[in-house]
Amino acid sequence: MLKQHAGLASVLGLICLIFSTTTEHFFQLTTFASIANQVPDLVLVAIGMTFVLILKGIDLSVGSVLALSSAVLGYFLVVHALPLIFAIAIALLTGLICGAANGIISVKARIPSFIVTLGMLEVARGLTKLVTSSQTIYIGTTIEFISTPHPMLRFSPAFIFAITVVMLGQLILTRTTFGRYCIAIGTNEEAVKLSGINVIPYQVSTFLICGLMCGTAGVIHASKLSSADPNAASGLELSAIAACVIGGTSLMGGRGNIISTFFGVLIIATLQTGLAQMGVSDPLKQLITGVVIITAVVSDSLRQRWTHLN
Amino acid sequence: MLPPKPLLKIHEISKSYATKVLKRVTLDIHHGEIHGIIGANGAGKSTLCNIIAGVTQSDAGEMHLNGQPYDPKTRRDSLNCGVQMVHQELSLISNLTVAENLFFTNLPTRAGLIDQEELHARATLLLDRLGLSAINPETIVGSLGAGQQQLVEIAIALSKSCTLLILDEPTSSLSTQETNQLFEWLQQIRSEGIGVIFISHRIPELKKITDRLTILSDGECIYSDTTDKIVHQQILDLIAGTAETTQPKEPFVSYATDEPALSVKNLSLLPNKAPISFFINRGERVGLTGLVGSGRTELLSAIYGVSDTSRGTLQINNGAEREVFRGAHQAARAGLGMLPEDRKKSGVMLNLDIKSNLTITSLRDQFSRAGFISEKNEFAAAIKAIRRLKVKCDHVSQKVRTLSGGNQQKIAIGKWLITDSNILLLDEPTRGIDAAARLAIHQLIAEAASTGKSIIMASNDLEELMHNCDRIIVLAGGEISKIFVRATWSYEEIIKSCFSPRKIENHSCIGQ
Repeated sequence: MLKQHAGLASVLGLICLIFSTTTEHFFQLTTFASIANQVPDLVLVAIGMTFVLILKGIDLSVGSVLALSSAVLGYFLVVHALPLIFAIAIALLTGLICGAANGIISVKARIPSFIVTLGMLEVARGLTKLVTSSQTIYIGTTIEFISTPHPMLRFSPAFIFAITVVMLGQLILTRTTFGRYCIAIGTNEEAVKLSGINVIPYQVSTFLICGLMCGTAGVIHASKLSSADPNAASGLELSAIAACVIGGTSLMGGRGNIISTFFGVLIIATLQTGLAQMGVSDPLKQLITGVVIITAVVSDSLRQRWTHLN
Repeated sequence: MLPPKPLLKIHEISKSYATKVLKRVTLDIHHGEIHGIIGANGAGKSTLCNIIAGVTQSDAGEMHLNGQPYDPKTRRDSLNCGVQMVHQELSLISNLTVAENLFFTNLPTRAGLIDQEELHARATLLLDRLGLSAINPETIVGSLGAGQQQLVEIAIALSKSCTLLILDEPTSSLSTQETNQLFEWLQQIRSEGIGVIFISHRIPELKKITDRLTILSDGECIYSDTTDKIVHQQILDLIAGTAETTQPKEPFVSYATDEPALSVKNLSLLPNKAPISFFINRGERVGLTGLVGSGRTELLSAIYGVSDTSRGTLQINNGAEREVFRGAHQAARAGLGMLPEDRKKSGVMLNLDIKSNLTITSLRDQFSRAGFISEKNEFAAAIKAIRRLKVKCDHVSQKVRTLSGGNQQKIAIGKWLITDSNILLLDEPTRGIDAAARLAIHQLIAEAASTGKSIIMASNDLEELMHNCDRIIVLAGGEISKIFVRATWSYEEIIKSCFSPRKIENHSCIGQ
């Protein structure tokens, strides 16, 4: 495990080194602070996605569910003037309900989660537009503190929170019976079932976790923008999957690691920031990001095969 | 008697992966001979066959086929020379029909489309010729039982031009009747001058069908001569070369008590069949046999709650009668444990370590506190278990994939011993594993029985059951044909009861 983290950390280091030598402004505390404060929502979503992927599922609805949660937050804060804490609770609940729907429908009705969550992607986005009347709800300063960097630490509360969730997620995955069963089910569901374990609660739980993470990320996203944007986070599912995959999560299930996913997010974000600073055009940025994702996965699979042979 | 020039001459073939798998193996396969190969798992049998079939290449040594240098680089090379190989693992395409599988590489077409009529006609003809007319060529392969699939697979090999046929453990999923069918084919093709390499773990079978026998041990060919010159015990001794198998077979000791552990009442596996009722006592070992398709696996699945369609009641430890379990988790909670037939698919988690495999069923109850795994306890329990099970491995964090079949099987059984389940349902516990591991598993089963556990074990191998069970239940066509007790049973009687008259015609259609 540590070896894997070291590998990802050195890739991240290498990327930083390249940008540091090619642009003047990259190697500065401000750059790193801005990367850190930019990632919390993606980190949370990618953690949820990692759990889902480990159990051989996939959640394509994360971007829409995030948008719906932030829309719900904005709606209750602005239209109903609810206290912040209640509005946040409702936003989290929204994410949880979407996750529950994804999980229960795909697991109980045995429909591939790809399809169920593809449907949810549309449903949640449609609901977002209904809630916001397709217009950005300006929330104002009440929630800005979540994403405002601490003047001394340079990090926002959201980033600290995301780091905490990373640690917690890693702990759950590697040290609890829940995590062990998740990995076992992803490795060989049939064998786990025949070992007398009811796999359904675990499968549903990963979607619940993912939904809750989307809800949380929705709150953070809204705080970043000070508003709820009905088109927020579209395409986020792909970034989240990319982050998981760069971190070595297998789409075939059974393999995944929260800290590695965190590194995956950092690699993507650093790449984006660095390329932007270099003045690379958007099309080229996309192209390079794609190449990095594929390179990461190919090298990971080669490494896997190599360790298999030995 | 034998033609002077061998069909296939193998000269000092060596092959290494991480370790040396084959060490200068030399042997000849003649025209019209059935050549048996036996050896423990990892002895190099499969590697040798893969080299002959061009799946992999040797590091050193040479081969001659019909006097010509023979060095296949791919499977296609060997096929062009008429070398057919049937793997132990089924390689049929399960979504296609029997007919489509039979002629997969050579589908008859008309104007670019598959000519269904022609295909059907050819398939029917081929199946008839092989005595498999009970199989409908339009059946989807996936709906056939494992034994029938294996026969179809061998039929495919026989339908092609063939000078040398390699069969890697063809009988491990066949019933006695199907084995006899296979042996008839083999005798037929022997008379046509085709050479057959026949890999098996079953010594009686090898004695019965093979002309010559090669014994591999640790990558070396330690015996290669006519089968008649060697007796059962000698073969066993040569394979193992360890004290484990040279010990005289221990006499059967019964641990059966008269305290009931489980009664199965009016369990119906299939509609329109007589319901099944039987009981098993604590410490008792009950064998379950019958032809392929007789419902052995289905019965175990029904008891364990993993069959959706079965109806009936169970009574555990003289408790209240209850409906059959719905889901394995209910069964496991009630003290049942199951070893499924297909070890790699559902018995173990190949990509997880030994420790996680061993504790999967007991993790929550024995090795966790407030949801967190107590790793120290888990580790200690795993170490204790691999010592008790005599698993050959370097450490408990090793992936189960790296173990031999026999050791994997010990892990699959071991998890239930850690859980301390009272009733163990073992489906083909020694399928595809070597003689020494087989004996070790039999000892484990006896040990479990001696501590009061009840064991139901299903096997194709009647001798195995007769050596290890107090009673044997024979199933035929989804019903109990007869229940035999040790004191009065005989091999012939049990075999006969597998073929209770009404079911002979049906049995091959049951998988459909």
